[in-house]
Amino acid sequence: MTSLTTRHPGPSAAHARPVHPLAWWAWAGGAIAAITRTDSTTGIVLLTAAVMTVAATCRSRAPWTRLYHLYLGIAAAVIVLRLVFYVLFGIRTGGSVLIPLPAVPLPSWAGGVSLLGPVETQGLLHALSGALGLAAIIVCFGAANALANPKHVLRHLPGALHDLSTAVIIAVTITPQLVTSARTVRRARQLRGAPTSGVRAALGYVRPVLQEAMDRAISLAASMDSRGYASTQRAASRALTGVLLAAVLLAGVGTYGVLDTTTPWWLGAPVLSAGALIGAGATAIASRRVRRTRYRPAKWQVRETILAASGLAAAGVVTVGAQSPPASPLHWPGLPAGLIAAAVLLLVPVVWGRAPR
Amino acid sequence: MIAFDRVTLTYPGATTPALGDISVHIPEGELCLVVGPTGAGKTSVLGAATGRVPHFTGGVLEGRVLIDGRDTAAHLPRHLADVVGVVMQDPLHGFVADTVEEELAFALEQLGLPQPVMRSRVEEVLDLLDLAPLRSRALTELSGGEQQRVAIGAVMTAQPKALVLDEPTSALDPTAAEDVLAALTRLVHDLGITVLLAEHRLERVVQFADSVLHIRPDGTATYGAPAQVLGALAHPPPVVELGRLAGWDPLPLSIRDARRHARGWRSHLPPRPDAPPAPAEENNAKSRATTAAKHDGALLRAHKVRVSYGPVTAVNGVDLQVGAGEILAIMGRNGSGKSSLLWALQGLGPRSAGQVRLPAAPGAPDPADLTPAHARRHIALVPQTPSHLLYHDTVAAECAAADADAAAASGTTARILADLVPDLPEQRHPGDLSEGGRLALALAVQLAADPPVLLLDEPTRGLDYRAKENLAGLLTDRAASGRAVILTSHDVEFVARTATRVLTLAQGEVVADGPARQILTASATLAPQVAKILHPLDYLTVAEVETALGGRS
Repeated sequence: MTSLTTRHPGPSAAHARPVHPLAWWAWAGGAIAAITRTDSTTGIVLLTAAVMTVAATCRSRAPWTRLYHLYLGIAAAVIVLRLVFYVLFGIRTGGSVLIPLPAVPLPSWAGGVSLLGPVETQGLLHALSGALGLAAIIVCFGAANALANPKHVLRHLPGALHDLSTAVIIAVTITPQLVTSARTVRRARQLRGAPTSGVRAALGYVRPVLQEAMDRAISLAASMDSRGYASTQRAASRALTGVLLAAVLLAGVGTYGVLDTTTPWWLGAPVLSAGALIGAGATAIASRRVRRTRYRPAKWQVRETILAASGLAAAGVVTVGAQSPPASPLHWPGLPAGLIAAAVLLLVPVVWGRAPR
Repeated sequence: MIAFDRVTLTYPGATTPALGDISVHIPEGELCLVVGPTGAGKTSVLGAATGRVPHFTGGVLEGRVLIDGRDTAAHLPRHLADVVGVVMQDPLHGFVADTVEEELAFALEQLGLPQPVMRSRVEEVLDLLDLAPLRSRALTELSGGEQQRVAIGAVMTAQPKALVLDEPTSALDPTAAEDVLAALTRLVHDLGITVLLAEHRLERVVQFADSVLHIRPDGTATYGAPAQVLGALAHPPPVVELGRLAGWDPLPLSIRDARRHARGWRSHLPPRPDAPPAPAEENNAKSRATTAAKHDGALLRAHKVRVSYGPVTAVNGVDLQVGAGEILAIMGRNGSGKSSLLWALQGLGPRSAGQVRLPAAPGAPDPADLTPAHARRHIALVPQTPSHLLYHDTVAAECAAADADAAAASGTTARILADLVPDLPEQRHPGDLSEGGRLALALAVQLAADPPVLLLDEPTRGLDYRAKENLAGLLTDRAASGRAVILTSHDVEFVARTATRVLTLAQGEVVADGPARQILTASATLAPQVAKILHPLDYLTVAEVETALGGRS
């Protein structure tokens, strides 16, 4: 190729920089911590609303953000399922009755469980608040995935997890196409006048869809390979990979310990920090094996610090506020100032984190 | 630059080699065109030149393949990234990143180049392939031609010495294909890149080729100058075929060469091919078809059809009528609404407004109101990917199931298939058939119910000349027996050979609708080669010229 003689201008000022993906995850992590520490249903709804507002305003219009709707769908399904389960199988405690449904006792081999029965306000609310907590966390994950490009997040994975991240990159690229491909195959099947419902028909189009996904995965892998993917990498030692996986596991257990108040204290912060330390060390060693460079490395600047801090601060505020005794589910508490503050903190990205349009 | 030294390739499980003893040396700065029927091993040659064969596909490769001195036996494809770039048929399948700039930088990041070098190389490629205005666009939003240029750019940033492309223009409309080919020639001429290019539609690329590598079905190959190799082909591109017919020497490869030969020669021909009595088979079928259309009623009538996807309007108020004996070709840019229109006409695709009627069917129903199983008996569609219609393990099982689906007498599908492709192995898995074989099977499946209206979405993609001949024959026969065919296509030569009427779409609206000859000869981009060479005479195909000459002498 001819040598470059002219200087090209850098990106114009209009070419706004997207937010560092890890800042979004820090923010979402804070939101998740805040939600798990909130007991009141109103609080959860308030915090989730804040998260959804940020997702709606700061999300870019890129195709990968469309999966957000899938997460919203799953969250809604969780709530509906939980309520259906309560109505069908829920244990009745004899509180105030909302809908007087008859109970259908099952035969004795089913363990004396009865179906349906009067729907009680308290039980229903309890089921709802339990489902809301889970749904809210799903929404937070969805928001993080819609705000931070999963492919950019993967770039921050340590080099030793290279094989894993390759698989994830291919999966992240192929999965959205699976939906399209399933729709195309189903429609083609209809063209033939063949039945499209029923188990046999479904099995009939599972295969072409999987086949297409497989072909696409292989051609994507071939394309990455031919463009030098992993060409500069020395093989990572198995031991190092093992250590890294252990660190991730420790960090996971530690996070669970921190979030769940009922676990012993040592399962929280100590395990989390141990995992983080081991992980950092192994990553430092592993990353010396990879000689990859970044075209436009994501920068961590003031904006990123503000976003991450807003999420973490929200978690902090809620944790401090949660020291007060938990309210009973039927008692709709007036919103404590702490929760309102946390919601406002979670909304900070609306000002600072909008995606470049 | 690319050297094959006694290369024999045998895939695992195969009894005969896919490539048999090929020795070729393609020198630096040459654009070499790889031609041959489907299944002959074009893809294997390209794969061997990039190291994907046998590293990615398996198989035994005897002999040596050297790329810029590097033996592919000792180098994995990833270690050849700075020597040879690979571009596939469907660029979307190879994209890793989300935006143009990230995609261009991907190879550089993998090679571990320092940032200033990356910046300058990306900018350079953006200019070279005219991609600068698209730099921050999402890859999925680009048109097909733009995507293919990005795919070329994404390998060019690594500054390879050779480029290998497998049918890079087969999915593109004529104008987008020209853009991509112009970009390629610029790389060859300005940077001295060696290009190995496989293509079915020879007419598009032959003028750019410096040499041709012809792979025969048995896996052996001939390499030589374009005029020499193409002149000996059974199905050369029209420009070469016309040159052969007229006895021009040297054989022309481009429209420009051919027009210079044709200057005096045109006076031998009557101004219109149908002026003298022309008893040739094809012409006859065509004229019969047109007269039939005048007499019989319409088979399909569409009024103000609109198709919208959210805020995007794909088809905007199209009026359309197709009569018995007509073959209507719908042409237009990628994304001009051709496929959406076909699906809306069939009734399974979304339609936001407008009416579709089948006047010949009892009660003149709207196909969208019929059950899919009922609708296909009146109007059948073969989708762009014919394999989506196929889901059984063997050709025989597929045929039996199709008979059942169509409520036809058993053996109907198999008989139609045998007419199309006489020697299709019954026990073969449909997925292992050639592109042409799969299309033939899908066509047979849809024709089992003998629908009066047949819709085909891009039927010629991936077909070689022989398969196209077969398809053209089938369509002409159906039209001659009083049925109608509507097809969408970018393949100008195929449309010129088969269509009686052409409708062009732009942004979902009808731009032109009229007899094929009139529309095709009047357009600069849609005119087939023969029309371009013989302009202002109204000829479309070599067969017409042959008939006219025969009628004279």
